[in-house]
Amino acid sequence: MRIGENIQFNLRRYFFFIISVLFIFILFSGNGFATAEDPAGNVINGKYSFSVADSLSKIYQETDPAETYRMLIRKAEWAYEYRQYDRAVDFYQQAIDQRPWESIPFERIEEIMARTEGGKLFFIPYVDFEKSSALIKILLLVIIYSIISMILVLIIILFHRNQMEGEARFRQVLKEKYQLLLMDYLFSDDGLDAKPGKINKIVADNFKRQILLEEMKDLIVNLSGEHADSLRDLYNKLNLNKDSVRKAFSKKWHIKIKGFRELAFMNIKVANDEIIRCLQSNNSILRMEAQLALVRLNDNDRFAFLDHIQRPFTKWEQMNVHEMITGHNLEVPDFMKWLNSDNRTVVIFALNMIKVFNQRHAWKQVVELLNNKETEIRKTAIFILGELKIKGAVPALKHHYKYEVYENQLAIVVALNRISDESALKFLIMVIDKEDDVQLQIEAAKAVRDMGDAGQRALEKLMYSDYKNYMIIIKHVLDKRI
Amino acid sequence: MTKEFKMQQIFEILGWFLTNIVLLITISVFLAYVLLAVFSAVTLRRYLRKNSYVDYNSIILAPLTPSISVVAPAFNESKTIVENVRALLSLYYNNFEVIVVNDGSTDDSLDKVIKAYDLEKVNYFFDYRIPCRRIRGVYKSKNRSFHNLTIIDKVNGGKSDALNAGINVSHKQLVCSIDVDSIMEPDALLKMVKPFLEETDRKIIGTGGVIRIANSCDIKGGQIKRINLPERFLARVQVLEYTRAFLMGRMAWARLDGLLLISGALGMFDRETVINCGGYSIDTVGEDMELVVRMRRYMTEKGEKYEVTYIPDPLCWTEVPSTLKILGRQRRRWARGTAETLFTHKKIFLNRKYKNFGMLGYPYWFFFEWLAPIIEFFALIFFLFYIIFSTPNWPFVILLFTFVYTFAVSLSIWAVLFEEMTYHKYEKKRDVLKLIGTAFLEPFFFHPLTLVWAIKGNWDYLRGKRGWGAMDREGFRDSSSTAG
Repeated sequence: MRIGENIQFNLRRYFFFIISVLFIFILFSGNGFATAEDPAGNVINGKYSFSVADSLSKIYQETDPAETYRMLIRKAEWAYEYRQYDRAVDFYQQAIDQRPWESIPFERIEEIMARTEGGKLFFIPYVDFEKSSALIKILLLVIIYSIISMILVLIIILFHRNQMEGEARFRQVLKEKYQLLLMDYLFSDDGLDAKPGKINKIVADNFKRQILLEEMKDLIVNLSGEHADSLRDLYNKLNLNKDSVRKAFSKKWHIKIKGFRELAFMNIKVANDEIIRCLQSNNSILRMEAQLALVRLNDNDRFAFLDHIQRPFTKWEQMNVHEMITGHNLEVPDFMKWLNSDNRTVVIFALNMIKVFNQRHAWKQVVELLNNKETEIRKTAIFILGELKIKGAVPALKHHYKYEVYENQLAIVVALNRISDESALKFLIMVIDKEDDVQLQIEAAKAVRDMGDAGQRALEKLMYSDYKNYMIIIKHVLDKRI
Repeated sequence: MTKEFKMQQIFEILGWFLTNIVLLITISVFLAYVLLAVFSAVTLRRYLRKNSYVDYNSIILAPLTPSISVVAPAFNESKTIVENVRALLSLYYNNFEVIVVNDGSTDDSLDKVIKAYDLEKVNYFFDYRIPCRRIRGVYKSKNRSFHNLTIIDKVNGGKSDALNAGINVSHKQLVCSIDVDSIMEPDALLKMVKPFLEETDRKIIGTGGVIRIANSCDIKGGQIKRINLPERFLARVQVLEYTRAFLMGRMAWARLDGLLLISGALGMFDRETVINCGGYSIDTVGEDMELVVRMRRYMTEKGEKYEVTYIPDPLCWTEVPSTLKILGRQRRRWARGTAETLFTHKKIFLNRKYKNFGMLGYPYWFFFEWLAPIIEFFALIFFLFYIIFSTPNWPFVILLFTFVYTFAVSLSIWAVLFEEMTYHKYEKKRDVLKLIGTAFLEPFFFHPLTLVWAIKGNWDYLRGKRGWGAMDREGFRDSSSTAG
């Protein structure tokens, strides 16, 4: 009984849902449904025959006004129940004529008016929707909204494309034009002095100014010395630096980033405090751009921001900082000084940079990190020791093996393979012998394989071991195609 | 009371009940769609702005990038396998391998790929960390240019089983599962790996990307050369569906931390988490959704902070069924897969321990993706009976229909706007207009069919049906072959 088993839900969890369903259900249920049988039982296919009620009313004519009033109320209610609202209103009016002091007919007429109001909305002739007018209003409003939004969206789609294509073309034309203008400024004798009006026009226009700025930024990357200074002069002369500073202080993060980038490229330090403030921003991209700007702007200590990072320093940020160092030929700091950082991610970054920039002198500090309480730091340290091929780390790696988690044990075996020191041979054979995990065995066998003749001999011996059948693992390891 | 009157009363009560329930569900669904669309719009805007500062090339050159195994199961893909493998090998990334799993194909897929890439069987020792059917052999190329290609030949066991075999053989940090017949954008791996690089104190366990429809597109050498809107109505309708689902739905769900599904056509996962969860389930046809749900459960129950992210960039192109028969089969499978996953993991339902995943994501799928089509179907059937045996409240019926229709169409047109404002992949204006025209027809010709398929899928689930059924493909329109 698969269904039975599956539908045994915990009712407690349904409670909130059931309550909310009931609430909305009641809200939209309108005035209910009309199926009551009239006193004479005259229901024909859901429609009440009023001829019978009319004939009954004749019998009561010329009798007591109170009785006539009651009869009219009953008739009105039947009519109401069978959706004949105009007739119901007629009967209630007659009832008012009989006993004007009674409030019920007035209330009922108001109720009918309210109920039928929805149908009369938006120039629609009277329609009986038999639902609350609020619901009808909502539905009609949504329909109108949908139709209007369809038309608007259609127009936006068609115009957006034309606008986008036009803007792209215009941008391209301006880019080429400004490139020539800047080259002219840098490499001709007249510079821009010959055309002051032209350049002022560009700077006065927001769109054009932005493109000019972008061109300057692109150009300065490839310039150095006199030409770079000359371009910076122009940037300052045109007051574009003020524009960049204004952007850097903007409340909008994406504008701030533009400002940071421009200031970093033009080496303007007036907004450094604001950039430092953004190092702790919740916005990851703003945070990263602040880091990159500071690497360029903070000449005295480019990587000082690493001392102040409180949030995780993501791999993405790490990669961008690394790219900044290599891409702009910046002086590489000694990353050893961040190995004791309180921020786990900064330590990992420092470890990775020690490997990338081959700072082997830091190996003893890296070995110390094998005692760190963070598994990930220990794993990275193991990896770095392997990549740097630090033979002095072999005893420490062997020692830590038995205390490590599985993942780091695997990392140790891989590191020993990279270091490829014969002093680890016995240990690696022991791993193959004692461990049940196939990955550990394979990695250990690979490490033995790569240990030259001694390793080859050890593997051959293992292949024909009576203790365990290693044949399949060793064949796998010896297959160089894998 | 007469017998006719009793019947009348029953109809009235049922009619009232169903009208209100359908109305309630319709309004709730629409409200949810509007909220999701608004959320998506905000998230998309932020993503695109953020992305305008990103240079993906820095990932290619960086030494800190995680390694990736691209795992592609293949079953009888003889027509396209060589080209598709070539396209996978030419993806932009510096540290990745391609593992193609031949899941017991009965055609010459394996022979073709062995010949094309100069493969030979190697002495591979299999560590079956996740259970899968017997692996007959592992092939590597003699040509060093294809050193990052591995072909696994195994006994047929279905897509999930093939993916599990691939994961067993993979040794990289991340696993990217794809359909071998899908076409990945060359920079897809760069974009998908970025959320993993941005990981903070919450572990990224999976990332999904947008799947786009490749029917009628011009394809050369396993890559999209020209994007066209599908010529056939049925495929075109699916373009709308996919755009709505990916740009308006999943983007918002990822932001709300309630994403339950990463499409099987393209998903990237943390390999260790996948292995610790037991890999893809072979007991369901909705293995992609089931894996995400299980991974999320695993992380929550372990008390670890995690995140499932989503990339709105179009990263993968796939051929969708363009005949009713095949589409029906696919949709039945999806409906069955949804039911299987939801009922297997019923513990999550409105369980506060699972936060938004249990309180929002799962209930949304339960009520709106699984239950709503069933109720809608029975309401329509009842409505037909009601017309025959009683007198419906026609003014309200017409009003309700107009409401549903106009809203549904406007939602689709909004989805087209989302696409236009973000990636505008359809260059021709005519294509966009065609898409909008399709939005007007969809509720009449396509939606009723989806209801029927949903019912059939659930019926299959009740009957305990297993297996995938055949998925015949027409094959992409390869401009290189047509030109030649």
